[in-house]
Amino acid sequence: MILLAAHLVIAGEFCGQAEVLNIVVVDFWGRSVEFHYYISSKAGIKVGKGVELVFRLPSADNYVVYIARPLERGGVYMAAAGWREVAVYLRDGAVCVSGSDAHQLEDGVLTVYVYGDGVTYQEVAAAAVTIPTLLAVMYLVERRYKKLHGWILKRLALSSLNRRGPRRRPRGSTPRLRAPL
Amino acid sequence: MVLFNFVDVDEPAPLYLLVAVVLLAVFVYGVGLVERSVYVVVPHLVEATCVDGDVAYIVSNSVVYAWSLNGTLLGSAWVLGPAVECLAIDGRVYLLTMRNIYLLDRDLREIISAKLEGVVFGALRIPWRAENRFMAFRGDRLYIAYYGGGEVFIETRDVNTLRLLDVYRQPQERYMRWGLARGDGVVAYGMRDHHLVLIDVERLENRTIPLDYRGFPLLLSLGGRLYLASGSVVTWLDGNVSRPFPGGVKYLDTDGRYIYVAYYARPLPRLAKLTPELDVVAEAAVGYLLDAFIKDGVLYLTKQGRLVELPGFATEIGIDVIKLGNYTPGDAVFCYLPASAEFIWLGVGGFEAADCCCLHIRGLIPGWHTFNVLSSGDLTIQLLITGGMLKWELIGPTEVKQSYVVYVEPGKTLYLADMDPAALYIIASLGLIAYLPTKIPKQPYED
Repeated sequence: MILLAAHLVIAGEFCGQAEVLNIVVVDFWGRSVEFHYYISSKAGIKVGKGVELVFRLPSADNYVVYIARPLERGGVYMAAAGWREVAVYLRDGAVCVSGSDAHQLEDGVLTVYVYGDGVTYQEVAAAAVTIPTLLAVMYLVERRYKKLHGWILKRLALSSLNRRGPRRRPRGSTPRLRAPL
Repeated sequence: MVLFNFVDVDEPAPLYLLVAVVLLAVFVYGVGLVERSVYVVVPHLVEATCVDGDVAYIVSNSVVYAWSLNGTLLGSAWVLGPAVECLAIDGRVYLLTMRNIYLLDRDLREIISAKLEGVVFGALRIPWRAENRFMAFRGDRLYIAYYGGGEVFIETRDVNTLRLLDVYRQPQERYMRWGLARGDGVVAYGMRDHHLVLIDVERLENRTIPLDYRGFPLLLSLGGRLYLASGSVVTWLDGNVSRPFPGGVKYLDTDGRYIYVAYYARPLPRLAKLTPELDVVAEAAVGYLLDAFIKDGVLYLTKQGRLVELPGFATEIGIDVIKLGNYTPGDAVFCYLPASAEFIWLGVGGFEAADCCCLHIRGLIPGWHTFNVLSSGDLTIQLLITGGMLKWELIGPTEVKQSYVVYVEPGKTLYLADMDPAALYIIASLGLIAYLPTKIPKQPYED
């Protein structure tokens, strides 16, 4: 149960009122790419490929869409390697999707994106802006409050020095052995 | 080695020499080289497979899937009713169902279909394994032989239009399994009351040969000669020569020059190359095959794939593209050290070749292979679920733990050893425990 919850948190679950569900696999540049899918439901398994997978909702059944990435290693080709799983299920009349990377709900059409390359340029661009900004803010805060920082450090050091009780041998210092008489 | 099985002490001396020469030849010659190995998944059970050039057609649950031999799905199409057999040649796909024959193009569009004269009986085999052929091409003619509705039918149709040119009918009161020989001639055959019935379709000759065999034999026609594989013996019918293959023959075919026999053996089923006089020229371990097909010096071998990690019914099919030729077989030593509470099997492709923990395959066909470590799953979880009562009959290889893609070079030995990462932690912790006492100071500190 904990594992399932963790999986849902990591994979991201989204529920919404939608009439049509599209599953799209996009590459690094956000372009849709053709993918192989295996749809597993109570009725059985369906295999196919396409640029997008369209479902009319509400569906009577819950299903899992497996996205396969053909893998080539030397002279061995595997069609069913590197699965991504997208689960589609109904909860309280709303359609829920988990296992996707991003989603968009517009006019009753829920589009679910799976990043074929693991990430798109948007995430990279956002990270490229956010990380230097955060570093710059930290640097400025550090400079502005250097004095305050030093004062805090000093207070802390003093408080530890004035601590009651026997002092311990500092880690790494030479132990004093009993001197021979 | 199977070769020793036909060394009989009562045989005259020259045969010993022949056997010695054959033994020597086995080390010099080989069967072929696995150039490519493709694994594809189809939903449900497989009904038929065929290969044409770079495309494999796999029929599953009345849908035919076209997979390119680099692992991409090209398309799929419905057929009416379960398929009995599939044949593909020069961009055309012939699908035989119980009542109809379909001709599809490379993109699986139906060109034409025709109704059979009867209904094919006893065609479906579950689990599927191709044994007898119902269809055969000879030039611009397509022959279909089957038993249906109290009669044996041998139809001759035009390859392009499926127009019925000729039909041979023979009433049979009881069900009679029927098939067409592989190879170059057009010979239909069936089994009835421990007798083999042969019909040469071109010459319209009937023959009946007593054959004490319960199963359905395999028949091959090569240059006017007939070869019969029944159980574990391959016999040249008129030449009175036979060759035993203990374990049982699973496949018999020819490339026009040599005869290829696949037979069951441990740890892996093997493929032998024979002369038309049934002398073994070479042999190599290939794995368990479901079907095979030779075209233009290439053997397309269809085999059971790995276990599929999908809920529900799905089948993985492996297709090995074997270039026939004198490639010396190699050896493979594959070991795996488990550490978790589980049972381990070592497999080649989807075939369980050995139990835990080492596998030595002598004379493995060179080329690309997939070695798998199959696991029963964590038994502690099963113990918890079943409340301490393990159901032993349910414990089997149910998941693929590790998969390795290897290339076996001709005439060389490949060593592959790996261990469960948990074994590394156990070894490291044991090492640490052994190391700790040396670091405990003998004299305590004093301030």
